[in-house]
Parts: sequence; structure tokens; C-alpha cells
Amino acid sequence: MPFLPLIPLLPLAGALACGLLHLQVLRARRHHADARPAEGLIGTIATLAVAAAFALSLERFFALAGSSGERVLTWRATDVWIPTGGPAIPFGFRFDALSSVMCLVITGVGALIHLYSIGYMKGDRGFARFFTYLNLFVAAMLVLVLADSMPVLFIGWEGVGLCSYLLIGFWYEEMKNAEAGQKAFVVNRVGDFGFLLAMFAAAYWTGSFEFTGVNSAVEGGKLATWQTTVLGLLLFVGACGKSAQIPLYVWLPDAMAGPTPVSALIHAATMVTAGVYLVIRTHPIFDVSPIASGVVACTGAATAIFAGSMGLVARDIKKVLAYSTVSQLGFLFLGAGVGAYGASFYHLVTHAFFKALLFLGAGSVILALHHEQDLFKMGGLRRALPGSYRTMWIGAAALAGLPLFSGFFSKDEILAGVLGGRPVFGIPGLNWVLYAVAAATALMTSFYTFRLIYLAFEGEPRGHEHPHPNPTVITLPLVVLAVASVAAAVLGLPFGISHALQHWLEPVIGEPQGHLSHSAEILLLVGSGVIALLGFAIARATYGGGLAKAEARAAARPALYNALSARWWIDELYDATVVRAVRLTSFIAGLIDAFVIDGLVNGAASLAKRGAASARRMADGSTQTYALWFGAGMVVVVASLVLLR
Amino acid sequence: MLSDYAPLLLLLALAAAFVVGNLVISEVLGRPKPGVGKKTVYECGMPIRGTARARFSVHYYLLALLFILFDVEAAFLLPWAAHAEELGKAGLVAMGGFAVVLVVGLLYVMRKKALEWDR
Amino acid sequence: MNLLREELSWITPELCLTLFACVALLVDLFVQKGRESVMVGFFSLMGLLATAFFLYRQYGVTPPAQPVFGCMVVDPFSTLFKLFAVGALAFVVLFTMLSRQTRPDGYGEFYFILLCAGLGAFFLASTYNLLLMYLGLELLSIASYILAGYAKGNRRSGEAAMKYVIFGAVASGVMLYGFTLLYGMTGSIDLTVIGPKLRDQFALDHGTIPISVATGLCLAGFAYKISAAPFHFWTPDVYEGAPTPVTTFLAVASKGAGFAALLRFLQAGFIPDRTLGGPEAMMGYSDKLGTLVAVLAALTMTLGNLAALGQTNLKRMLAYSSIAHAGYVLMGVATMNREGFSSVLFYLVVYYFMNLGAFGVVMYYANTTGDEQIDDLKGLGWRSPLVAITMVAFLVALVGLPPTAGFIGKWFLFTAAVKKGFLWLAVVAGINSAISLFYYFRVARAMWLRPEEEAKYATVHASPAFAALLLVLAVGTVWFGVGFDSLLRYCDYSQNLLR
Repeated sequence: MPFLPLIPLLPLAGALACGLLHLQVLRARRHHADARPAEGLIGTIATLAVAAAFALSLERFFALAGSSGERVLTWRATDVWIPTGGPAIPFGFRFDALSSVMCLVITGVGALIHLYSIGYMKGDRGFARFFTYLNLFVAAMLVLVLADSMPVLFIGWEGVGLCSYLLIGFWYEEMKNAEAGQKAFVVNRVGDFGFLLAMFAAAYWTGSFEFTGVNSAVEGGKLATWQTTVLGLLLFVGACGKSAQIPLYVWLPDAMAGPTPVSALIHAATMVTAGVYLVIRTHPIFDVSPIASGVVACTGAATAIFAGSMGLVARDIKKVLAYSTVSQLGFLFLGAGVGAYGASFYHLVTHAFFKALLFLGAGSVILALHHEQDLFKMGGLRRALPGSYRTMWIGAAALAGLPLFSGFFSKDEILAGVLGGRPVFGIPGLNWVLYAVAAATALMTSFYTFRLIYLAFEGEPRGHEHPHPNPTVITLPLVVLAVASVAAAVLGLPFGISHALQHWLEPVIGEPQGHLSHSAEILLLVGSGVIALLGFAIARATYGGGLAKAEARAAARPALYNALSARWWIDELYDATVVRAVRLTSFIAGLIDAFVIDGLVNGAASLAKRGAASARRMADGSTQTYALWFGAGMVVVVASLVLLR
Repeated sequence: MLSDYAPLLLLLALAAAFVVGNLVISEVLGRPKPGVGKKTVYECGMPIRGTARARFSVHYYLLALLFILFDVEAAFLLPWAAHAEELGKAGLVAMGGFAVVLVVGLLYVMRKKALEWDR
Repeated sequence: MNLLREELSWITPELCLTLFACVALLVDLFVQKGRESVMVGFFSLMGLLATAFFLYRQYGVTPPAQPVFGCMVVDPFSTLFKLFAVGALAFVVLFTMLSRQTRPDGYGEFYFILLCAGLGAFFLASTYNLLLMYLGLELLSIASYILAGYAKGNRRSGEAAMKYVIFGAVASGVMLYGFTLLYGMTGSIDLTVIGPKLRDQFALDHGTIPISVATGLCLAGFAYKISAAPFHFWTPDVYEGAPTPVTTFLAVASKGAGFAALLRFLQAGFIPDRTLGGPEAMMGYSDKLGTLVAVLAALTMTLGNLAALGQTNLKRMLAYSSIAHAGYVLMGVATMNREGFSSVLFYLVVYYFMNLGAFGVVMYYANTTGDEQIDDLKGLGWRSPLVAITMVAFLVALVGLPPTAGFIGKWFLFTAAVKKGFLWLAVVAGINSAISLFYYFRVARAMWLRPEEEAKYATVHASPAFAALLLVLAVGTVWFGVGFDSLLRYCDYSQNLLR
């Protein structure tokens, strides 16, 4: 009987094993400065650990599919993990429709990325350290999705945050990378704070730390509307941090400082979707509160178009994908905000496939070009890297939403959900506005995606003449993911041909709320297709003819181009407001610290020092002195008892 | 309370007065005439030879200590012996345990050669 | 005869310990020269194991309080302390067998004396009888004097023993005087009789001067035994000079027995039974006594911590730290209520683990290098990681940081003190904990934050047996910091003195 906790335990064991091997390498380096880790062994252990977790998840998935009734497998270590004054905090896992799919995605995509990393990290001094963190990340992410209560989820939540920090700053010798890791960590703390408050508020108001308890309390109408609104908004603050939504998105583009497999696994496929997962997991709260769900939808839409616009002009291949990720995450929140949870989750899954594919493809390009990331210095790689070209083209098509690719269907479902879903803030007209925003974003998406493809693969080489070919461990995951990017479409085809995922999720998210007529669906579908193709055409027209022509066009509209390439001056805005305010506060705090606190501390320290000296002097080793103290003490004790009332 | 102790105090005072009084009286009434003959040891001891601060062998102390130890512990046997019949088997067992401990101690002392004068 | 057997059956642990002490002595006499240490040590361990077994059998079944021979009492409280003593003795015996300081020939009696000291601790923990309490104290003390001076030829050890004897004699004299006064006032040497008689005296309102003098003197005696300020001055000298296993014994078992006797003394004589209620004067006196103990506690922890700050010798530093810890434990005593007493028991068990461990590491270190200086520990973390890691666990527990048992133990002491209204005391203790962080972490810093090249000594391997002992202690230290529920229940159950 496969045991539910084994799913996260396997990668954890892998992390331990790799960690020990890393220690061994460090030990060996004390004698031979350039001792190498046993890469084959480490890579195999790490990959197999995740693959085994995948196999286990699959087995449990089928067991779940075969079960009748409520369709949920649970495991409880203890009902009272932490006793509190109020409700006790349990420790347990919940393997239901939602978490089962998440587990499969995490371990499946994770295993492929592990395999890929063996090739990508080859020869790196921190090879073992890398796989330790990566395995640890998978374990933490699995705990996050399997958790049946908020505190357990929080363990995973913080765990993935930690691993993300460690992996962004993996090459910590460069200040820039270490700073990027720190930025991610600090920004995430803001979100974590929101999540913690939400957790405490939920426990306080509903008397339960468990999701089932909170959800049923909300569904049962035990909470006032203002309470659910507060709860929803706090949860969303947490989700914003993890999933890089406005205003907490700033860390994700910088997070690209980490190795590319990390960007693929953590900052595209899995960790950044944790926020969306959280919203879907606690969806009754958002169902009840129009304000909370409206905020979710509007923030999602704003982030989508905003980040998409920044992706239009980015020159760094990974930055393009990073902005695209932020933008697509905005889509997910938009879908969740209007109640189209099934559509949102469908897009989450397809996005995991094709965005991981695109990142890994980008990684293969970067590797082939000896760590060149500037799109303007690429070009003409189509012949040199045919495997990367073909698979990335499929990934791009899926992301852009070209008809018949998985992204086409999943994005279309979100768009349909926006129109057919519940009115945002209770105002039906707003849905149309959001639809327009989403459609515009889709157009941008299609444009910048194919801009990337054209700049990197078409035209003449600009810089690197002799890229070196990629090994099989790198191309194999690309191919698998490319197949998945196409095949994932069957999870949710329109017109009721296949609503596999939607039906599967119904025990968790309930019946779909919105319903459009078939004709409207067709209209939307055609619309989506046209938008995607239009973007493709514009990109082709702009960049198909070479870089020089494209730059001339950009020069014709300097204001817009500058604004875009300066990322709408958002970092500057943050610098001028938030950062400056923080600096000022920290300056004042520094003064207080230097004069008041340090004064107190130093004073206390010197007091302690002087006290210590005299305390030591008292014990000078002389028996007479001791006897004197003894006698005096006795007299004082007796006298105080006799004299004091 | 304290008055209960009055006879005791009186007795103490009388005893002290007796000693001090006799000394004072003999000092006042007697006329001391010391001489060589008077200073010699007379019928109650040996003439002093050597210094009084001579060192004794450490064995002497060891032996003395052991003597006191066993002497005092053996004294516990007497009350039991006097009431042996009333105390019956229980008393026998208890005293037996006591004796065993003593014997262990004795064995230890012997084995450590603490009882041998010449080593 | 049946009655005798019945009563004897209640003191099987004591009988067993006595028997094995005798056996140990005889084995030492007849075993081949040069093998005493191992053989006698082995028999002592067997005896402790057997004793522990009998104690364990007594634990669940004892009635609330079973009087034995009219002078002893067997109750969960005493059984817990006896188990505590047996455990400590077992570790001390093992340490001794593994230590070089005590290994030279002719050291077989060492174990005998150790077991006798344990017997003294047993009596101290399970009697209401002042005379037996005094006898137990003397048995424990006299054995301790000999043990402290056991490293013959080592001048520090001799000095330690001498100082210990002198102060021990004074303290026991003072305490005996206190006992005598109590006897004179009440005509009984049984605390269970003395308590009600004192209550009557309080009710008659004759004034409390004789009672105050008597309790003050007794308190001074107990304070000496648990090394509370200002009666603690012998502690650093003795702890530093004595062989390390002996120091461990003094710091853990002896101190624990002292606390056991103190708790019993206060409970039986001076804490009014809440169900019966007491005269107002007695209530007031009980509170006054508590406040005095609180002041002693504050003084003890402050002096101990401050003096520990500047120490360079690891053993002496730990001696001062053990004084400071006596101060923390006194916080629980000062509350004079059930919760406080429970927290005392809990903290003593915790203290047992972390102090045995810390002293064990010192012994290991001194054994392999002959050095006890803190600064010379540098680089140990890289050379002997296992020992250094366990040491960090003990240090963290001694500071009182989570997730170790030290944190939970302090937490209970602090809450008990605050609930009783000794907020100031909790603040003082908090400041003291902060101070202690400094000197404990100096050790950790020396071990880990210095490069390996600076290490003074080459790799020193812990023998597997020794490593296992340290590991057991470290696991206990951490385990009770996380899964403390069962231990807390045991301590609360054993705290049968106050309801």
C-alpha cells in the first residue's frame, strides 16, 4: 500500500542524500581544491527520487479515480500536532482532485527538469548543492499542495520560499544574484505576513485550521460578509507575493538570476502557481465575497496586461519569459476571480507544460551560446539547434494560443469564463472591460512570444557563430514537454467534447458557474484564434525581416518604446516612493539604534562586565572570605525572616 | 516556659561557684613554697622524657578510628541482646543485616591490611 | 515478621542499592589488580539497573504516600527523585569507566563511595523525618567529600575536598541547629507532626521569632546544598578541582537531592494546607518565606551568570552556570504552590540531561587533550563534529532556546513565577538568560567559528561508547523540547506534595 506521506518524503530523502554527498565533496576539497562531485550518482538519485514520487502520485491518482463517493484520500499523523488555546492544529495530508493533479504536475515536470539539469549543471562546482536544493524544493512544494490545514501548507509555503531564495542566489559569488535572491525573499515576506494573518483570522473566526473546516464554515454562512472579505483579501495578499501579482511582482523578473532549470521549475511551472492554488483551495471565501473576488479578478487582469506590455521590448530571453509568466499568472487570477476555477486550473496545468518547455528551451539556447542571454545577439540558431527550435516553436504556439495547441483552449476557457462568469464586484459591465483587457493581453502575448522565436532562431547570426550542440539529457525533456504541451489540450476541449479536468475537479470546485450559448462559444473561439494569429503576423512582419528594420520602427515611436523598455519606470517609482520611505525610516531607525539602543546595550554590556569582574573577585579562592560570606548570608536570611513583616 | 529551666541554671551557677570559690580560697589562704622535691612527679606518673610534640605513626590514628567505629557499632548489639526474645525473628533478621554490613566493613579493613602494625 | 516483610518490600530499591554497594566493595577486594575499575564499575551498573527496575515497579503502584518504619515515606515524588539519582549515577559510573582521570589503579572503592552517596540521596528524597534527612544529607556529603578529593596527588582536587569538608561541616552544623530548634519547639522530629504543631503556634500568635530563626538556619543549610547565593562560594572551587565525573555527580544528583529535601521541608512545615486553611499568620509567613526564596533566586542567578561571564576554564564556567540554574529552579520553589513545584521537577529532569551532557563533553575533551580551556576548543567542530554538535545542543538547552527542553523547562518556571506575582523575578531571570547566551555561545563560537587550521589538537576520536552516551543525552535534550507532554504529565503526577 503506497503511503501518502511517502510522496514528499521521497524527494526529501533525495535531498538528504545529495546533501550528504555535497558534504563529502566539501570534505574532499579540503585536500584537493578541485575535487568533483560524482555527478552521475547525484543526478540519478535526485531524478529518481522525484520520478518515484511521480510514480507514487500516479498510483494514488488511479486509486483516487477508482474510488467512489467523496473522492479523497487522507492521512493524519496526529489530530493535535500543536495544541493551542483555541482549535488544535492537526498534521495531515489530503489527496483530492485538486492536489492529485498538482502532485502529478509537480513531480512529472519536476522529474523532467531534474533530468535536464543533469546536462545543464554539468561541471558546476555546486552540482550536489543544486540537486539538494532542487529536491528539497519538490518536497516542500508537495507538502504545500498536500496539506489539509493552513499551518501545514505554511510549512511548504515557507519551504518553497526558502528554496527559491537559495536557488535564485545559487551563484552567490556574484553580488547581483545574491541581491536578487534577497529581493525575492523580502518581497515574499510581505505576502507571507498576509497569509499568516489570514490563517489566524480563519482559525479565530471559524474555529478550524483545516481547509475543510474553514470552507464549510464559510459555505454554511457562519461568517459575516465583512469577515469573508477580510479573509479573502488577506489570503490574496499572500497569493500575490508567491504568485508575483501587482504590486508584489517585482521579484520575479530579478529571480531569473538563478540557473535556468530553476526558473523553469520554480518560477514558471510550480511555486508561482501556489497563490492560485491557494485561492482555488479556499474558493468558498471568494465565492461569498464579491469584493475579494473582484479584487482578485481586477488585479489579475491589470497584472496580465501590464507585465505583458513589459515583455514586448525586453532583450533578455529569460526576462521575456519571466514577464510572460507574470502575465499568464495574471490570467489565472482573472479566471479565479470570476469564478472560472476549472478554466483557471486548466490553464495552470497547460502553462506548467509549455512555460517549462520554453524556459528549458531558452536554457538550451543559453547553454549552446555559452551563457549569452541577449536576444539581439542571437539569431539564426534554427539550423544549429533544430531540436530546440522545433520544441520551442511548439511551446511558443501553445503560449501564444495558436489554434489547436493546448494554450489556445485553456486561454479561451478563461476568456469565456470572464464573459460568462459572475459579475466582477457585482457589476456585470465590468466583465466586458476585463475581457477587453484580457484579449489585448492575448494579442501582446502572441506578439512577444513570436518576437522571441524570430529574434533567436531566424535571420542571420549576430554574435555567436559556433554554438555547440546539446546532449540528449537536455533535448529529451524538451520533446516530452512539447508533446505534453500539445496533448494537454484534451483535458478540456470546448463544446463539451472533453471536460475531463472540469469534471475531475468538481468535488472540489463545484459545478461551473458561467454558461454561454454554443454560438457565443464559437464566436469567442474564433476571436481567440484570430487574436493569436494577428499577434503572430505582427511579430513576423516586424522581426521576420531582420533586426534593423524592427529597430527603425521602434525609433518611430520613441515615447512608447522608451516607456516599455523602462518597464513603465516601475522600479524607479518604487525607488522614489517605497524604497526612499523605507530608507528614510531605516535612517531614523539607524540613528535611534546607534544612540539609544546601542547606548542601552553597550551600557548594559559594560554594566554586566563590571558586575562580572566583581562577581569573580568575590570568589577569590580564600576559605576565609567564603566563610565570611556564608556567615553574613546566614545572618541576613535569619534577620530578614525575623524582622520583616 | 523559661522558668522551667531555673533549677538547671541554679545548678550551673552553684557548680561554677564551687570550683572558682575553692581555687580562690586556696590561693588566698595558702602560702605557696615551691621546691625541687615538690615539682617532681610523685606517685602518679613517670618522669617526662623528650618533647610532648612527638609524632605518632599514622597507623595509630587509623587503628584508633577503626576501634571507635567498631566499638560504637558493637554497642548497638547490646540493646538488641537485652530484648532479643521480644523482638523475635524480625529482630534477628534486622540485626543479621546489620552484622553483615559490619562484617563486610571488617573484611575490607583486613584485606586492605589496615590492621597489620608492621608493613 | 509479616509486617517487617511488608515494610521491607517498600524499600527494596534502597536494600538493593546497599547490597550492590557491599558487593562492589567485595569485588574490589578480591578481583585481580588492575581490573578493578572495569569489574567494579560493571557490578555497580548492574546494581543501578536492578535498583532502577525496583523503582520502576514502584512507580505506578505506590499509594499517595506509603510510610515505612515510621521514618521514611515512599510516594511518586520520592520515586521520581530516586530514578533521577539512579540515572545520574549510572551516567557518572559510565563516565568514570571511560575517564582517564579516575582510571589509575586502586580506584575500585570509588564506585562503592558513589553508590553510598546515591543511597544518601535516596534517603534525602524520601523522608519527613528530620533525623533521617540529616543522616541522608551527611551520607551524601561525606561520600562527596571523599569523591571530590579522589584525584590523589592533584593539589586542586585536594584543595577542593578540604574546602568542601569545611563548608559542609559548617552548613550541616547550621542546619542541625535549625532542626534542633524545631524539635525544641514542637517536641517532634517528624515534619508531618511539626507542621500542624507549628500551625497551632501560629494560631496562638506567640510571635514567630523562634520559628523564623529555625527556618532561617535550615534554609541556609539547604541553600548550601543546592549552592544558592550567598552560600555558593565553595561550588566553583570544588567543581573545578574535583575529577570531572565527580563534578557531574555533584552538579546533578547531589543538587537534585538537595532540592527534593528542600521541597519536602517547605511543604510539610510551612505551606498551609489549602483544604484545611491555616491561621492568617501562617499564610503570611509562607508568603514571606516565598519572597525570601525569590530574592535568593534572583541573587543566585545573577551572581552565577555574572561570574560565569569571564571564565576561561570550561569546567569552572559550567560550575557557575550550575549555580545560575539553581537560581532558575528556585523561582519555582519561591511560588510555594503546586504549579511551581511541578515546574521544578520538570526543570530538574531537563537539567539532568543538559548538564550531564555538557560535563560529559568537558570530560571527553579533558581526557583527550588534558586541557579544559575554552579558547583551546577552537576548531573542535571540524575535528570532532559529533561531539561538537551534541555540545551545541546542550548549550542551546542551557541558554533556554527552543527547540530544546531547556526552553520548555524555563517556560514553565517563568509562567509559574509570573502567575504567583513574581513578575520582577521573571524579568530578572530573562535578563540573566540573555547574559548567559554570551558565555555559552563563546564555547560554540570557539568550536565552530574558527577555521580548522587554528585547531590546537589533532583529530580526537570519541570512543563509540562515549559517543553513544552523548548522543542519548543530546536526543533527550532535544526530544523533551518537542515531545514534552508525557514528561510533563509524569512530573505533575509525581508532584504529590501539594494538591
